[in-house]
Amino acid sequence: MEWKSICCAVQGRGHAKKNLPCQDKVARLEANGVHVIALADGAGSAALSHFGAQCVVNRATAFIADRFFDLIAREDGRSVTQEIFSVLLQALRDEAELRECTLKDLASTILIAAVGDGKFFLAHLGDGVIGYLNDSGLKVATTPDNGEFSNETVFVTSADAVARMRIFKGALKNISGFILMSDGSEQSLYSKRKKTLAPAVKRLMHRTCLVDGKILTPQLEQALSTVIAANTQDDCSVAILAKPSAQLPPLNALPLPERQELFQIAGSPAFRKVTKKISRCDKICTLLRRPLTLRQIIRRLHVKPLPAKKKLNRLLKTGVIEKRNALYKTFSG
Amino acid sequence: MNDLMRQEDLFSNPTTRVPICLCLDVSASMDRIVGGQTRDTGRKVFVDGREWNIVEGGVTALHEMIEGVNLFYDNLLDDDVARYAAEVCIVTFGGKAQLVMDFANLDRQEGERQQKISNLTAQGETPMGEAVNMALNCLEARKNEFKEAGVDYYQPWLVLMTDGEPNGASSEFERAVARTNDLAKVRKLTVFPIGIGDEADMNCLAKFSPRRPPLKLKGMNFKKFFEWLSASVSRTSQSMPGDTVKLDMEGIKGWAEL
Repeated sequence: MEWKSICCAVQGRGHAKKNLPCQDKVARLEANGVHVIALADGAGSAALSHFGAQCVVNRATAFIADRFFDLIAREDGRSVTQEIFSVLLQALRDEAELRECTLKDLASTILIAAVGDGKFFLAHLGDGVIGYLNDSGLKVATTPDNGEFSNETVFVTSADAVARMRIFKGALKNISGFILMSDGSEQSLYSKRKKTLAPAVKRLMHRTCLVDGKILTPQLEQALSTVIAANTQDDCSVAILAKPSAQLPPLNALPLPERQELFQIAGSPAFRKVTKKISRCDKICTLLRRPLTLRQIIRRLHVKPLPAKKKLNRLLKTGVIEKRNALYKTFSG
Repeated sequence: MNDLMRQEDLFSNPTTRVPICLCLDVSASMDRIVGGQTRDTGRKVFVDGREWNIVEGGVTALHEMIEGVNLFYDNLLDDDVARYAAEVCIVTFGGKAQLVMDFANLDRQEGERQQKISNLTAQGETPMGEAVNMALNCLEARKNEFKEAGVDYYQPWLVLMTDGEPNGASSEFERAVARTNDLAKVRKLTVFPIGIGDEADMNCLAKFSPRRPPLKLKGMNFKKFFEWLSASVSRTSQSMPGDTVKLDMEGIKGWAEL
């Protein structure tokens, strides 16, 4: 089962009121057998921090995807953080030259999670939270690095950034999900008192495994804007990496009501008509665990082309199957 | 309601707090008449370091201050964000240092606020050091409560208002000055020392504020000051992590002699 990722950032109420851009930026990248997600929260006090945050997430994902195996093989953590900062600061210096501003104008935090070949790498500077899911449930990897006061934090451009970046590496073993969140999302997804993650995080990870990002991203964006952003003035963003596991069961292992919800079939499952619809979807999803063309699907299901296409289109809309180069496939594999 | 995220699967963290400690002079000299019609009784009294003529009627400096503090509360309560962010504590000094209102959410203070503030009376000497120490103790205690409860907070503010000079124990005064300076120098406390009237000892107020000179209230313009203060609290409460909250220097001109 492969890792899936999703990321999303929405403007907070505070920035909307002042007509300022969303300063949270996110990125994801899958390359060289590595899957990386990154999130940066631009400093409110820095005029062009939205450009800085975008620059940092783009550079961080590219760099980690490129150097993942080298970075996790090293014993000296300090050399890893130093190299990350030299790469990020160079990118910011180029950006500053382009925008004709100072480095400080581009200040942001940075959170990174990457997986590849059974290993993971995490890096975190500033506020926000990195969480993960293992067989025993949701766990917090890093908590916000604020000073004593809420409006103090550390940025990529801060003098003590290298010393304050926290990095982790290890074998994935039974870890099947990672989440990066900015301090805006933290308000709803992380308990500051108990230092635990909200149950909603697991649901997001599960959906990331099961639903095509193209369909899930707008849903996530809407959830962030309407539910999460309502609890804060700040911008809200999350980035998630997940793969099916005992905690995040694959489609065929889900109970009927959950499958019904994913297939977006209305009505009570007490009616035969409804259960029949669900089992038809089940059949298609099982069939599409390996990629097939429309013609192959028609042949295997013994149905006419038009109804087959209609059913496939309906499932494509739910995001549980995807279509790439004329091949249909169940998204979660 | 969103299908992807259910409200019951989310946490609700408390609003980030702005703790504000008002440390107010209610010594006998605050009974001075600052306006309105008066009638001299012909009697005199020696209190709080000097001799006073006793009159009937008129508006005292204390009246003006009480109105200002009530206005401060009203403005904060009217502000959707500041209402839940601001926490106010009031310590007075007049004869002795007294904790009038301990830190709490504004809504929780509301029941007793009007009565407690309106009942303030001006009496006795000016034990400013004792009061500042009491204020700092309350602040420390509240910060510890915040930490235990996982409540984020901004730099606390200490507003120190006096119309005279301190005449409590000098050791307490020195200790208060040292504690305030230690905190203010490392930006762990924002201090607003405010002098009321011509007899306020500005040199002594300056000792409490290593970063900013004390300000002198223009006439008895408590109202303008507390309006400015509530607007500043509101701006702070709406700031986001990483924001630098700058004080509205233009606004200060409306109430302070610069």
